[in-house]
Amino acid sequence: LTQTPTEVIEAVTAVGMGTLLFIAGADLWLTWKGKAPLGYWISDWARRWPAFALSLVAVTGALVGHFFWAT
Amino acid sequence: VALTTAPRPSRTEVTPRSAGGGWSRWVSIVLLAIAFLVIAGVMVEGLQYTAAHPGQPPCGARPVPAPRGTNDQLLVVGICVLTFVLGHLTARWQAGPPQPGRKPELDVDRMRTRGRQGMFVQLAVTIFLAEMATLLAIEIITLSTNHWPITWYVRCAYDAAGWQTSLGGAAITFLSGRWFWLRGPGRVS
Repeated sequence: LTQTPTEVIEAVTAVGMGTLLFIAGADLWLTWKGKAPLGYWISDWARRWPAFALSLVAVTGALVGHFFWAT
Repeated sequence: VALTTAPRPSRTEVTPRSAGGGWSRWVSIVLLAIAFLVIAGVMVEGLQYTAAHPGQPPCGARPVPAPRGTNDQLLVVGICVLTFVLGHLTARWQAGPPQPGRKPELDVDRMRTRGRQGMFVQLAVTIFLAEMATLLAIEIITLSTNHWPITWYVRCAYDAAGWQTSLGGAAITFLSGRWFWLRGPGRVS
């Protein structure tokens, strides 16, 4: 396998981590303002759309395990 | 009987009474800020290194760095599991105990506020889903075109900067636990 172009690595790093930063910042802002945190809304959404929620959690868990647990 | 006209708390506000005290909110704020700073630091450090050393990953010519050892790796995974649980607990403490039987009140202003916040959160969830799909697509494309996948760069980063990468992973699992571990049923904050 050859190395991925530097521009792609930079884009993945910036977009991937930047998106997480944006959403974490939103959660921090909601908490700071005394509003219901992000998990509150995601729980409501998950109860309304359980199949989508299951898919989201499964994909997220698989990705986290795939990226962070080397075997 | 004296009737009071004091405004009742909004359904979307986490009040001290329903939040189990202000301390839980501050714990959430502090841990969220730490996670935010850790992810920002990891991102900046990674971008700086990549810009300064194009085509030269820190792990050298090895395509997949060998794991440092099962015990070491299990320790990091265990820490990530703990931060996942911690993320859930902070969200749970912040939302307060379940209050079954309490019905939401009909208030147009509150419903509008809730609608605006709901739209904002839907946007955040949509962005997150788009990110997941993009990462999956990149992983598939890089593997199918014989390029290093994202996984290898994460392992490479761990090989070169173990504790920084572990901190980043712990921050991400903290956020995952906070967002994706469902709170109990019947809760109205």
